Formats: sequence, structure tokens, C-alpha cells
Amino acid sequence: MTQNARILVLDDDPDIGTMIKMMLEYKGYRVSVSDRADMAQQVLSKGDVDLIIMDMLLSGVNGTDLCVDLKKNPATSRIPVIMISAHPNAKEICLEAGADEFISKPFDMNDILSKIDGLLHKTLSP
Amino acid sequence: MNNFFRRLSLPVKLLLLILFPLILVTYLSFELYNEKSNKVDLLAGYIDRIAEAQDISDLINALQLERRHSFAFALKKDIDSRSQLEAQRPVTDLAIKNLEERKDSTLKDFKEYTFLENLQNARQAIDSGASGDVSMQYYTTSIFRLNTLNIILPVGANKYLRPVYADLVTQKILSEMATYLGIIRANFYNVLLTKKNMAGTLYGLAGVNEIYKSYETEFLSKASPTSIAKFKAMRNTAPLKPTMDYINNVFQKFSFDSLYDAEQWWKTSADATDQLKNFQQDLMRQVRSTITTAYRDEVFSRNLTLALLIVALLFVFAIMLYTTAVITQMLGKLNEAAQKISFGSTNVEVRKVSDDVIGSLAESISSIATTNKQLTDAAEAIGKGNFNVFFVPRNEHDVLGNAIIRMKDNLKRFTREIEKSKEQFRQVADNAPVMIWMTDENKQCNFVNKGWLKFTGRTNEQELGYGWVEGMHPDDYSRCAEVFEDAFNSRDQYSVEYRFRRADGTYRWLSETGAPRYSTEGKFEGYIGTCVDIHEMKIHEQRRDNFIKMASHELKTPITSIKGYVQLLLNIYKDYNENKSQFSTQAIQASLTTIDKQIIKLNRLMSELLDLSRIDSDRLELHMQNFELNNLVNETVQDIQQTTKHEIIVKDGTICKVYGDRDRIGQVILNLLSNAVKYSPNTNSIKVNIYQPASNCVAVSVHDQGIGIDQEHHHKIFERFYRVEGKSEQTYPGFGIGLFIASEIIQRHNGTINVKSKKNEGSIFTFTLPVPS
Repeated sequence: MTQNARILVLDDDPDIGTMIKMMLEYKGYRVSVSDRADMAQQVLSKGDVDLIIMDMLLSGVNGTDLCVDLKKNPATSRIPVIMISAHPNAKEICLEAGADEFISKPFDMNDILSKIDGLLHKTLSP
Repeated sequence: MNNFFRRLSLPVKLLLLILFPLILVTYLSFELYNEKSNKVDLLAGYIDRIAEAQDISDLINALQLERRHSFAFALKKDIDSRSQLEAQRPVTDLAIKNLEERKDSTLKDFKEYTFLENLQNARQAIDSGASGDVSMQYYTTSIFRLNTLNIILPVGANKYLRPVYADLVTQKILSEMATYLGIIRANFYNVLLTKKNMAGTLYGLAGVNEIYKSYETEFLSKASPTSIAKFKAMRNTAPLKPTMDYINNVFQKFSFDSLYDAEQWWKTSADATDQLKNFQQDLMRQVRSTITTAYRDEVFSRNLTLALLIVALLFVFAIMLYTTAVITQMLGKLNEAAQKISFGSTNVEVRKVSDDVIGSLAESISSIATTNKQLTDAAEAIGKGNFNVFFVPRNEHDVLGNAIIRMKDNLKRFTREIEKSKEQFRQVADNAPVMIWMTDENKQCNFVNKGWLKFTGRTNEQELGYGWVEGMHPDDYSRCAEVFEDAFNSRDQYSVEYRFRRADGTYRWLSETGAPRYSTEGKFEGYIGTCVDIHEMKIHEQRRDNFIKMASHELKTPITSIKGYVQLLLNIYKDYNENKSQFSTQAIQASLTTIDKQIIKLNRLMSELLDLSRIDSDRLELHMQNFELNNLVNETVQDIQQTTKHEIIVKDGTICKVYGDRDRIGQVILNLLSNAVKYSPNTNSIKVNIYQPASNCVAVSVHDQGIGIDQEHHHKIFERFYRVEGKSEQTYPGFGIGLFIASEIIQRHNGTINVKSKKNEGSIFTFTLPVPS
């Protein structure tokens, strides 16, 4: 069931975004990629996102600020957020901003897949 | 005793000094007064005695008269005699009473030894008809006896009585003479009246007559010339002359004649006797008058002496007191002046008022004050730095004067040395290429050097005290204050960095180092420190830190990408091996293409880092050759055109040949084109122009319509690690060292690189290279 979940990937580096998209689509997820936070709002407004993966640094707006906004908004607060960053001290900042999981770059594919699976099981299970 | 006297205060000493003579003078005055008083007392005693003698004399006279009248009554028994007798008796009684009333011990019970106790018996016998002899005998013995009491001449040479001595002696002789004359005349009267016993009477009276004559001789030898003259005059006139002539005649012939009858004789001789008596009384009065006058004079003299003595004593005492006061006052003034001098005052005025030891002392004190004033003035002038003040020591013994001269010379030398030292310090401080400051022991700034003032653009007065704090960045103040306080209180050296306002109003990072400073005696005198402008270094450091962070991030991005694709490929391969899924050629190709692209990107980043390292260590090697710039530009454009949607238009009307490292110049062109693409995401056109702006150089410019760069960043973007940052800025991948490397490469070709740009209006990057000769 989780294999059909919809995932939004936000990363300012298109190469990384494409790589994650290919990885997740190969595993059967439906994936949208954007490098801009404001584009993400459009996707979110359609209401068909089950999980968000985003880099801490985004073009246009800071990833942590976006995370805080999402978690504040009742419409989106239940969507699990996984934040990724290459910065060494990013984990604490991201978790403080409300992220459900943090993964540091470069990441392991199995690691990110198991975290996605874990979070989706938690939210989609009745 | 000597010590005791020395310890006494000066007024007491002076009073003691006058006390002894004063006591002596008082004692002598008292003695003198006593002497005078004794003389007065003596005279008073004599006056008393003379008065008494006069009373006795009065009584004798009364008794002589009573004897005369008793004798006449006994002979004649007539009424006249009786009445004369009756009249005389109360006179006699009164004289007795007067003598009795004198309260004088020498006359106590005088009646017992002068037969006067028997007066009443004698009178009764006379009244009863007793003979004339009886009365004559009784009264005569009594008169003789009384005459012996009339003695007031205990000392013949008593000087107080000398003026009256002759009269005193002669009045007694006269009294005796009157008595004896009375006896003679009474017996003569008896013979003349009775005509009986003539011879017997003469025999009996011859001795009496001789006694009378001897008294007369004595009188003439003792009496005063005046008395002698008076007596002789009296002797040569009546009644004394006829009486004495008759008596002499009778005793010469030794018989009575009829020259006088009884009554004639009685009368004449009575007058003669009275004449003697009166003379005696006159002398007595004269004596009394003289002695009373002498007494009065003496009393006056004594009182005058007393008054003069008192006045003299008071005068002496007053003089002594005044002298004591004056001496004390003079010494007091000198003491006051000396005290003033001892307290260090030079404003002392002492006048020499007397020509003695005190005056001399005043002169000495005045001289000390004057000298002190001169020394003070000299020291004052020297203290103010006037080393040319005229001052000469009085002589080689003038210790203070010589010391001041030495002090002046030393101070002059020290001052010169200090001035020199200060000048050296000032030169060092002012010329030092750092900011130097000093504080006092209370943390207050008391010195800043020229470098400081040049930096802040403020005046020395503005910076001293706590004024300099105004220049510190408000955000840094409390941190720095804490560091400084801690170090200051424990006298430690410290270093601190903070932002400080420069003359142009911008805040610059300063590195301050402070250390406690001590005098040569080891006394803490405050802090000294330096401030160095480390702004550029600080900014550089920050950029380097940011660069390292950014570089690690940038390196991680392709690695993340490569790792992700490799894992995806491993998954596909695994699934394929296990026949779980179909082999996706498309996914494999996309993955491998991306991996290749990421490796190229990684390689480029590594090359940039390597170039940076080479530039830093000055090992960037150039492989110089002649080549045509137009070809290089077109090749590079063709390469990059494949990777971007932007249309890159090259305008190369001029063929430009250069001499340089073709690869490195290509690197520069690629960098400029990459930046143009990267920073103009919303436009599609980039223009490249190859041209020759001057005969000696060629230029390549890259013109985009991108986000542009603020004027303030223009000169900095060619510095290492510099990246335009800001809230509104988007982040762009890359190290941000591309322009730095490009700039370094162009500079090594003796070319120039610059930018023309405005925010949001695109940029024109242009580099020039020299034309080869």
C-alpha cells in the first residue's frame, strides 16, 4: 500500500532531486520534484502528498522555515517530513523545526527507503 | 634652684626680679616712716612734757603768790592781805587740780611728796594767826620740791630739742631765781616792817643770795643771745634793777637803810619777781610754740614721706610691670614670628624696636624670614621650570642656598633628560604603525597616540577619560568591558577583539592587547596597550571559514548524487539477477550519464581547489604560446552551448592574437560564461564580444541580462572566497572562487579584468590582454 504513496521532493540541486525521484519511482512511489519552495505550495494545495523529503537549503525560502509553516498549518501538519542536508550540524536544527526524520548527505538508499516506509506505515495505518 | 628658676615662665621671672628690690624698698620705706614716726612721737612726748612743766610752773607761781599773800597777812593781819589771800587760794587749788587731772604716771600721788597734802593744815594755821615764818617755810619747801619735778631735760644733746634747748634750760633757771628772790625779798620785808633781827636775817640770807647769783651766772652762760639781751635790758631797768641794787647794797654794807619802807620794798620787789616769772613764762610759751611747730612740721614731713614713698613704690611697681609687659610682648612677637617661620611661612614682619639683645634677635628673625622668602621664591621659580632665576648663596656655609643651587642644577638636568625621554616616547608612539593608548590607575584613558587620533578622526580631548568608549560598537561593549575589568583587577595581560568606529564612520575590527604598567619603584600606574586594525584579516578569516563550509557542501552534492545513482544501479542489478524485475535500459543510461556529469563537476571543483592552492603557494604555471583568441572563444562557447538553453551570441569582427596559456585563458572564458548562465536564470541571451579597445591590448566581454551586482561589491568579487550574499540573494552552487582564479590568471598575463553592472540590470565582465609585440 505504501508503494503507491505520493512523495514530494524539494531540493535546490536538480541533480539530487532527479536522483531521489528515480530511486523512489523505481520502488513504485509516485514522486513530484521541485527546487523551489513556492512551487511546493502549489503541489501541497492539491492535497495529494503523503510525505515530503526536502533539503534544508532551498531557493526562495529556507527549508526549516517551510517545515515550521507546514507543521503549523492544520491541513499539512500530519504530513511526515524528512529533511536532508550536507551540513554537519543540520540535524538538530531540522528536528527543532519539526522534521520527523533527518538524513545527512551523502545518504544510503536503503536508509532513506526504510525511513519512508516507517513513516508512511505510521500515518497511513488506521 | 637654678633649674627651678629656668623653668619659670618669663613674666614670673621678671616679676621675681622686681619683687626683691620692691620688698627691699618697701622695707626701707617702712623703716624711714618708722623713724619719722618715732621723731614725731618723741616730739609729741616732749610737747606733753612741756605742757606738764608749764602746769607745774603755773602751780609754783600760784603757790608763790599764795605764799606772798599768806606772809603779808601773817605780818599785817589787815583786810587787804586777807582778801588777796582769799582770792589766791582758789587759783592755787585750780592749778593743783589741773596737774592732778593730767593722766601722767610720773606725777602719780605728787601731792604726797610735795607737801601739798598739808596745804589745808598750813592754811588753817595761817588763818589761826601763825607767824609769817611758818607760812614762808611751808610754801618755800613745797615750791622747791615742785621745782625738782620740773625736769624735762634728760639728754642735753637731744637733737630734736636743740632749737629750744637754751630756752628750756634758762626758763628753769629763771624759775629758781624767782624762788630765791622771793625768799630774799620776803625776809627783807619782814626786817623792814618789824625792824627786828636785822643781822640774823642777813646771815641767814647771805647763802640764799649767793645761790641766786650763781643761778644768774648760769643763766647768762646758758641762755640764748636773745634771752641774754632781754635779761640784760630787764636787769638795767625797773623794777629788777632797783630791787637787785638794793639787795646788793644791803649785803655790801651788811645793814638795812631807809631807802625803802616795808611796803615800798614789798611792791617793788614783788614786781621784780613777777618780771622774772613773766620772763620765765614767756620762754616757756616760746618753747611750747617752737616745739609744737616742729611737731607739726615733723608730722607733715612724715605724712609727706609716706605719701612720697607710696607714690614712689607705685611708680616703681608700675615701671616694673610695664617693663615686664613690654619685654614679654616683644619676646611674644618674636616668638610668634619664629613660630610662623617654623610653620613654614615666609610672610613674617619683625621690626627692630630696641638696640639690645631683643632688637638683635628681631633682626636675626627678620633676616631668617627674608632669607626664607628668597629661598622660597627661588625654589618656586625653579619648581615652575624657570632655571634662569637669579639666586646666589650667601657664602660657602649657606647650606640651604647651596642645596637649592644643586637642586636647580639637578632639576634642570633631570628635566632635560625627561624632555628628551618624553620626546623619544612621543616619536615612538606617534610613528608606530599601531594605535597606542594608556590608562591611569583608575582605568581612565590618559594617553592616545597620533595613530589612534588619525584612526578615529577625533581630538585628544574627546578621547581622554572615558570619551574613547563612544567609538566602540554597542554590541561589543559589554563583552570587552568584562575582559578589561577582569584583567585590570588581577593586573593580567589581555587580548580582545572588537569593532571600533573609524573616522569615515565605518566600524572596523581591532585587535587590542593590554598590559599593566609599573613605575620603576614597582607601583602600578595603569595599563598600556595597542590596537591593530585586523578588519581585513577578520573578514578574510570569515570568508575562509564560509568557503570551507561551502566547499564541503559543494563537494558533497555530486558525491551524494553519484552515490545515489550507484545504489540505484546496484538495486537494478540485484533485482535483475534475482529476476524480480525487468531491466530498464532508460534508467541505467540516465543514471550513468548523470554519474558522468557529476564526476566532471567533481573534477572541475577539484581543479578549482588545486588552482587555488597553486595560486596561494605561487605555483600556478603558465604554458605560454601564440594563439588566436577568437578561436578559443568560439570553441568554449560551443562547449557550453550544449549544456544550456541560453543563446550565446559571439561578435568577433576583429581577429585578436595573443601570447599566453591557451588552457588558462579558456578557463577564464568558461568561468565568465558559466557565471553568465548561472546568474541569469530568467533570460535567454548572452553576448560575447571580442574587440581591440586600444592598439596595445585586446578585450573579451561577456554580457548577460541577469541579476546584476551592486556597485559596492564590484571590486570585491574578484577577491578569494567572496560571494555576494544577502537575504534576497538566491544561493548558487559553486565555490565562489572562479572569479578569483580568473582574476589571478589574467593578472599573470599582465591583463585586466573588471565588471560593469547594476542590480537587476545584468552584468558585463571584461578582461583585456596585452597585444604581443
